[in-house]
Amino acid sequence: MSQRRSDELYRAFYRSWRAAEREADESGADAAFAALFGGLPLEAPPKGFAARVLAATRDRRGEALSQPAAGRLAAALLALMSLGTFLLASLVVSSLPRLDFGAGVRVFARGLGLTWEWIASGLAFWERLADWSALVARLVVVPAVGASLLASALAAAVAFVLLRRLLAEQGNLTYAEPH
Amino acid sequence: MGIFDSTITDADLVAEALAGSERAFAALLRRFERPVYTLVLRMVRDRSLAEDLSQEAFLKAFDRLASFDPERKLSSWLFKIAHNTVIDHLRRREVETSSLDEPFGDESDGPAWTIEDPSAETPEAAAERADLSRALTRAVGRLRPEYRQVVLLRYQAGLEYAEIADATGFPLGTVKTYIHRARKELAGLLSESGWEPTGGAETSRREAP
Repeated sequence: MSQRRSDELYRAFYRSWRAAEREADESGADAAFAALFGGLPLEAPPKGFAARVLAATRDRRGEALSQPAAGRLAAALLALMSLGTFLLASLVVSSLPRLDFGAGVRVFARGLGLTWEWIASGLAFWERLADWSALVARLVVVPAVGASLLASALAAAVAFVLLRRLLAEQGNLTYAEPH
Repeated sequence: MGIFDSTITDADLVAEALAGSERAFAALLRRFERPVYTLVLRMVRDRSLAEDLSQEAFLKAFDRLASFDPERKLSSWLFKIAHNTVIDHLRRREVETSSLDEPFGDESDGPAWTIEDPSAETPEAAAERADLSRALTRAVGRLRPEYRQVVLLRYQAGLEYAEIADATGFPLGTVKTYIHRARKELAGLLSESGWEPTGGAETSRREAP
């Protein structure tokens, strides 16, 4: 483009825009102003901008890839927790005869009777409640039962921490959808 | 043909990026970083904020690349995301833009009219064009936010009226009115700063730097 031509070009854009505005020529003004404005220099982003965006994109894609893996781990922990619960239930059931299941039934039956008495007297119930608590405490102090409870609680805690982190990450992914 | 070759279409680059090519992401960035950053900068008039919001816009775009319709113009899609990112930010933070009189452009930047042969123009002509460029940029900064929005989307992003209405949520008639009024206001602001309707150095007062 020659010097003369580039001078004329920019002046022509400016003049035709102003003339079109004066003459209320909407489409002419629109076109001339578009040409004039299109000639404005584009601003360069700060140095390293593209590298930073690419690094952030890489991180996000990495996170996106790692999410299914975290999901699988959480699922495995939940399965482990379920298994622990099942084992715990089995242990409790198998422990009951050794803890005199018949006595438990009798306590329960008596408890029912006492409940009626409590309704009548309003006092003796608390003694029976203490008996029941003692029965539960005897179950919990069995080493196998206590260890299973502890293991299940730990597995559940880890699983919930992982799930919470996953949900938080999902919540951070907000998008501006073009309409 | 390299991936940074300008003959590769935007749609091809998007396809390669979706296939996992980091070079395609880099090529998309190289192609659009200046237009997107300029649009954001002219909207917020703060370089640091413009950088953050441009980065956010690109990350959103790259996250949502799979939803891009190759039948559409990638630039329009990116500009809309950038515009939405800025508007969301301004609504969220109610950020006060920097002084409208403060020029944010690089003073050494020249206008883009001479890209074919920059060496062919005289220093006087280059200075005159740079003056007009600064005056116009400053005038755009003085527009009320709604006008600035539609002017930038129309004349920098090159969106159609309907697309602007879609992006801004303004009714189509309002968009047309705003653009018309904004241009009128810009003409008035340029006249105030010495740019007479006839244009050119011989009839206009050059703006003081």
